[in-house]
This record gives sequence, C-alpha cells and structure tokens, in this order.
Amino acid sequence: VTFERVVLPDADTGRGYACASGDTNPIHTEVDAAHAAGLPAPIVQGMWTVAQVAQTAVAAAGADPLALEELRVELRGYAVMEEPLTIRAAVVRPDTVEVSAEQAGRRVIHNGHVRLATS
Amino acid sequence: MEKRAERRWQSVYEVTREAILGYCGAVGETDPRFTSVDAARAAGFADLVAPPMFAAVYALAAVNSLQHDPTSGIDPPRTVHGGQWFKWNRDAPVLAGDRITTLAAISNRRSKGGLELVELETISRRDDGVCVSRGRWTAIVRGTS
Repeated sequence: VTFERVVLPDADTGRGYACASGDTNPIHTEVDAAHAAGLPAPIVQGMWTVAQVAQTAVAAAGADPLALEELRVELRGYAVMEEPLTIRAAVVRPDTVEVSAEQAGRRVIHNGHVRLATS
Repeated sequence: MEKRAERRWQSVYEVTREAILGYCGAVGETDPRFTSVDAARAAGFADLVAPPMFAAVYALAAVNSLQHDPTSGIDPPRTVHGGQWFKWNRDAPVLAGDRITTLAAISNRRSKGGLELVELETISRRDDGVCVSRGRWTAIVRGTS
C-alpha cells in the first residue's frame, strides 16, 4: 500500500515551529540569514518535515499515533515555505512503513523507516 | 573513527500544556489526546499527552548545548542536520507536568569526502528515572576550506 500526502508549509511555518520547538536558527525565519547560508529563502526546519513524515506513516498504516515505536530518516535537502511538499509512505509490513519526502523534485527526506506497535 | 562518549551535556525540560498545544498547532497534530485535556483524561491519561515527535523539542536543548560547546568540535554555522533516529518507550508517553532530563553525548565521528559526520546520542528520562525516548542525531559538518 502506497500513500501520498501533499502538505503546504505556509509563510509562517518556520516562525511557528521556531516558537514551538526552541529551534531558533535564523535560517528558518530571516531572509538575510538564509541568503548568508547560501539558501534561496528561509527553509523549513527539518524536524517539522520529519513530524509530517511520522504523521503520514501513521495514517498510511491506519495506526494509533501513540503506536510510533521507532523512526529513522536521512535529511537530504531543504524545503522552502509556500511550496508543496510531497510525502510518500509505503506500508511494507503491518508494523513497518517506508517514507520519503520531496519538494519540486528535490529530495528532502530519504530512506525513512517507521516502526509501529501492532498490539 | 575516534570514539569519545565520556563527556555529556544535560538539559531539563518542563512539559507544559501550552508547549504541547503550541507544538501540535505548529506541526498540524490533531489527535484529541494531544489537543484536549478532557479527551486525554477520557482516554485514561493523567493530563495532556505529547505526540511522540515532541521528543525533538524536549531533547533539543541538550543537543544544542553540545553543538554550541566549543570543546565539542562542532561549528554550528557549518553544520546541517543530516539524520535522525528516535526510539520511544510506548509504556511511558510524555504528559504535561512531566519533567524530562536529557543527556547528550557524542557517540561517533567519522570523515566522509571532506565532511565530518558526528553522531550524537540522547537519552531522555522522567524524574522517576523511566526512559521515555532515545535519539541519535547526525550532524554533518562541512570542512573549513
């Protein structure tokens, strides 16, 4: 079973996640800081995208969000705001979901594995 | 190749309802056990439940203090987050009112094509000593040239 979900980080996602998480790196909130780091625009926090991937894996498996037991991902590229992010989840076993995320053809999350409790 | 796990960095995080609700709003979590105290209690929890990925919040300060410590050899402006692993204790979901202490240590570092891959390990425990989650955070540090 393959499951696809498109999420749209909005203009305030970087600021909102910074506030909620304590990840105050200015490359997520300030245009100048993003440019200084060689980025085209402020980028979404990787862990915001990982949270989307985890939610998608849970939904794809029809699991309880509290059944999340283990998650492993590689962060391969950045995601900018106001551009759709496509998340793919393949349920390979009842307790195992493989996940990835891309934006405009760029890999953002690669080799994601999520393990869910089945009991 | 070099292994040095002796040095540890610690942070203490007090989980509040406001922090859980703010996190859920920021990432779009809508499960009522994460967003409504009444629903959490009706489901048998003592207070609002934190989504498992909230581990990225309560463990972050220990990771940040390690990365910003000049003795860690990690230069934050040259560093990107390259990988993440979490394992949760399903018998101990984190609730509002919990106090979570996280210890972070460098577990491995190796060079790969001009980059240095530094692996940090975290372990997060409640005040009663129960481990709620473990993490492995891969920092990719670019060369100085």
